[in-house]
Amino acid sequence: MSKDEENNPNENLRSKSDDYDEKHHEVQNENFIQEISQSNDDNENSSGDSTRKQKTCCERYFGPIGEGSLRGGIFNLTIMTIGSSALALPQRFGKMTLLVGVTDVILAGAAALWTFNLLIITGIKHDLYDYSKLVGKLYGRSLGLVLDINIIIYVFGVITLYQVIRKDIF
Amino acid sequence: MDIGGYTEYTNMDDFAKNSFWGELSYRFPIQFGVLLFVLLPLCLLKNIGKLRFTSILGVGSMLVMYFVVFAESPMYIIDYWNHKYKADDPTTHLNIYNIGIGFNKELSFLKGTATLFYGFGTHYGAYPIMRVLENRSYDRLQKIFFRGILFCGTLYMMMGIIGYLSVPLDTPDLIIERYNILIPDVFITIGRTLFISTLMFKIPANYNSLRISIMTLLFKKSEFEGRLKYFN
Repeated sequence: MSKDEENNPNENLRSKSDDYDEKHHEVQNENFIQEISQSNDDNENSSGDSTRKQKTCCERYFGPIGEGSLRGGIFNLTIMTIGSSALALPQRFGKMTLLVGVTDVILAGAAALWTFNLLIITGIKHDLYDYSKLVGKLYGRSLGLVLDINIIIYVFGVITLYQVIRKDIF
Repeated sequence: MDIGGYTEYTNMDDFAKNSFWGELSYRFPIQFGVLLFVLLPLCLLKNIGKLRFTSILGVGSMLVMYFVVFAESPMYIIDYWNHKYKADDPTTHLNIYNIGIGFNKELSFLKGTATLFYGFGTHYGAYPIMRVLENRSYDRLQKIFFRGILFCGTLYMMMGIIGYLSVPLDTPDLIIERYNILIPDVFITIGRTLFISTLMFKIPANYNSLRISIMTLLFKKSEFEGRLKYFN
């Protein structure tokens, strides 16, 4: 036994148990994602054989876009994401050099993808698809309230910005 | 270039601002007409899935505008190399890898990074999209976000690089406001008009999340009350 362990065995035990908790939590999360994917595959296979036929490429890419379809979701996300900031990028790239600009785009995209993934996992885990309610459930009602107010201020500002740009361009 | 009766205007911006379209008596009904007949009905839709056609129209308009900017860029690039670039004057050179420029007194690096992260920040809209997705599953949700982000990231990168290379000196705040080579530049005017429609169709999609937050804040419930079944 080392000197530190002899002096304070409780702290050592606590740090070991913390490590164990973290590892256990990570393993649980990984198992959870695997379970989700596996059960989803099972569901798709079981329902797909009997009720759904395999779509052709033409049907998949050029068929009608349903209300809850994958393509509809992609377009909705894209229209929410892309906007006036794209038109300001050339100036920003010039101010911080092309190399840094390209690296920044990749980093920001990766960060967005990672955080979206976290939102998906959390939403599925708690079976709750409301941002503020989810935050309220996980961190308390007051933080959910703060998030709601933040979203309202942010989106109100964004919409006002669009109106101003629209007026300027028009 | 002769475009009918509008030859007195050498610039399409002048035409838009100084012709009868720029007068308040025309601008006012147009703005309020758009508000009443386009924005208001779209904002009243509760389900974001029903906005898919306006989203497609908005993204399509945006792509056409991008195409116009990209298609005109070679002319600007040639103009820069022929008339503005001077080998003995470093202020006229391109900034490709001189990273130190971004860390000046104006903190340009932070401004640029903030713009980029703002460009990808639409997390408030993630759950409304998740709710309406059919056969909701982890893989399908991941596909939506991966493809959406990849699409936007590619467009951002292309616009940033090509836009900057076309006007490396005195780059305007918005690239569609760069100086005109074609006089009158009809194509960029069409692009700007389409960009207005993109902004117009962005508003209802963003408003959807705002409405849910307001509902939750005021009435403690959104219209999608209750837990949804994850597996179909």
